[in-house]
Amino acid sequence: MGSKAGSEEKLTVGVIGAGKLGKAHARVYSELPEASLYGVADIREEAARELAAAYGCKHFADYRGLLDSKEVQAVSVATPDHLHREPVVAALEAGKHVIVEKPLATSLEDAGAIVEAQKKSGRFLMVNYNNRWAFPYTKVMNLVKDGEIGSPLMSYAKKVNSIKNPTKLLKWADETSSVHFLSTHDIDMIRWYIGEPDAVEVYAGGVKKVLAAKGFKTLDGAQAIVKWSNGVVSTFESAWILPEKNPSGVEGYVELIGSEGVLHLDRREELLVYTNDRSGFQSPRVSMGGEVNGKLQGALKWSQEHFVQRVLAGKAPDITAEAGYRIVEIACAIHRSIDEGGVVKLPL
Amino acid sequence: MKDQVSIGIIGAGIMGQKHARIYTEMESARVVGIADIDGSKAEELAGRYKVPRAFDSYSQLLEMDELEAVHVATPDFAHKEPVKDALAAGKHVLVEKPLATTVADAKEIVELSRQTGKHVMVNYTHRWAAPYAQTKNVIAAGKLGDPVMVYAKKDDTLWASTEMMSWTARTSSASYLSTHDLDLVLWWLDTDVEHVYALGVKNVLQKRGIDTEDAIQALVRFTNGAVGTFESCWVLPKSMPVTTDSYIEVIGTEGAIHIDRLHEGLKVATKDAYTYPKLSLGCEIFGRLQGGMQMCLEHFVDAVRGGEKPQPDAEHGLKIVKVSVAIQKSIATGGVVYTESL
Repeated sequence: MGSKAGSEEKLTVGVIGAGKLGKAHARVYSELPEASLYGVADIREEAARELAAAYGCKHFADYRGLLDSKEVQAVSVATPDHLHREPVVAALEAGKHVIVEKPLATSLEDAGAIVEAQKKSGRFLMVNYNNRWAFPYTKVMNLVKDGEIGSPLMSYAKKVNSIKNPTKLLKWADETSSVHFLSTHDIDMIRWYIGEPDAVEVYAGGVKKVLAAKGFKTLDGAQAIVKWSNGVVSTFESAWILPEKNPSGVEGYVELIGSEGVLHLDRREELLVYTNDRSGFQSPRVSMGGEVNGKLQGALKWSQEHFVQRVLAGKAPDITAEAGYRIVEIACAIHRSIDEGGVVKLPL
Repeated sequence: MKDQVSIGIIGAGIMGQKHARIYTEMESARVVGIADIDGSKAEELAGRYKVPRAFDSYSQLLEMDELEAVHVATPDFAHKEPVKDALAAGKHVLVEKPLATTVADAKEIVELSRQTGKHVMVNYTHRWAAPYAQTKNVIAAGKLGDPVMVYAKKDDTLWASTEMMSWTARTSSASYLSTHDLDLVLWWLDTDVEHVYALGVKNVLQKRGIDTEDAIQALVRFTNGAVGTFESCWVLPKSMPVTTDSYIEVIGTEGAIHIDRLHEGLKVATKDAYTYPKLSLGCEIFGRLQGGMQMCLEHFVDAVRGGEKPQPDAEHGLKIVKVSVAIQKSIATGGVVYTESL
């Protein structure tokens, strides 16, 4: 299903959602020689207009206008976690390829609907688990593939945020959770590392105290143990109540124990630290990428570049709707275990 | 020499040897006898530290009139008998962790300690290591608010499970390693474990003919509502720079701490190896073995001298035994286990 767009083999793309990630998607497309940014859509018209102005493309207050444009071949969906289904399904039905932000959805029903729509449409869908493209995580995958730790036995992965994230930076914390927002990165990553098995059992415990006291419904955090079909045992921890003086807004840690070795990927303090009295002690994030010589480089760019190049070549991008569905299933099982107590068996 | 507490050591293995040195270097104690079922080991150790008596049976040690207290450093599954007999003989007891390997045995010791009025302290030395002691201070001062989530791991190398220990199959990584973390966390949070769900992995050790888990993760709910995961492992490769990778994180309503003891500040590279020496539990400083272990033993000796009850006591030890048993039961049954059911 290759498509030549105009001249020079470019993919004509649109972005749905002009928030933080939508802006990043737009910037990446504008800097990719193989992509041509046609337009951006956001129900907040002003946000769409402002973003479009930055890149000289069209803006839409209704994404359906963007999808109606025949020139558009593919779209990014960067709406809030719980609002992926509608634009993704509409885009697929309009014949567009889709790269959608993770998680695929926050409910199994929505994820299932997307899987169905993707099958029917014959278009490519990629779930943007971009951590896979970051150097440290890719290095881990290469070490595992090369047999450096033997057969995986057990893993521990945590992703924690400062309390700023659910209370100030996100407006929809109650519509998602630290599990959907944070742990899904790790669940996808670990599953990828250990050979993409099925999860067979999940048991989890949640905490509701800090955010509840501030009037939120969402969990402060959760820990979950997953048993995989290949015998590996994994714990996933997430929380988003770290104090604001934490050296960074997001911290991660991955440990993978194998039959012949062990590795740690420690993204608590991340290579670079600096201090001044204005900012305090800071450990900025450097693993995912950033601006080099005026252009965005790193995982943020490469995952989208992968999508664009695969679509142009007529090949399915990595991380399909089916893979995304599996992660949603585990996240939902975690929530079910938390809500109902007890061990949850999969498939759900 | 006056006013020194007379100590006997039961078990001249790895721990017994460390204790013999520490008590000998203490001004407030002296070792009057060492017992080991292998009499030659007892004799060798006694000779090393100029201890007057060596025995191949601890009952003979217990007959020494001047003996005030014993340190039981036998394998985990062999704690109960010497502890009980020592209490019955009127001696205070410091016993290696865990207190016992079954809930029934632990309960018996608690009861006997109460009946005889003699102290039983469980040798959870980590409480005296600076990072853990300071964490207690931080939490007690309210700096974290209410602790709500905990992750604690203790991962050993294959050296521990296949070379250091000869009775690996008679215990588990959780009972042997997570027991330390359980003590610390229950102490810090001043709470108990309500229920447990645990999973283990059997692969490496089983292939070597040792039928116990390579690694275990146990997810607990504490009675104060917090959640915690305790991870233990003892199949890390021997080329690790350290034999034990220890890490604990506590997230509270107002703050968080983590203690990363993969290394303790010192990294040593030589042509033979790259190592992270362990420091906070014990370090030779101007000829004396000092640190968490030494301060813990001193606490016991001071308690025997001064009469006040040393902590952690047998009741606390029993709490931890229940969790360890619950972990193994959860692994075996595949279900959630409530500690009060044990």
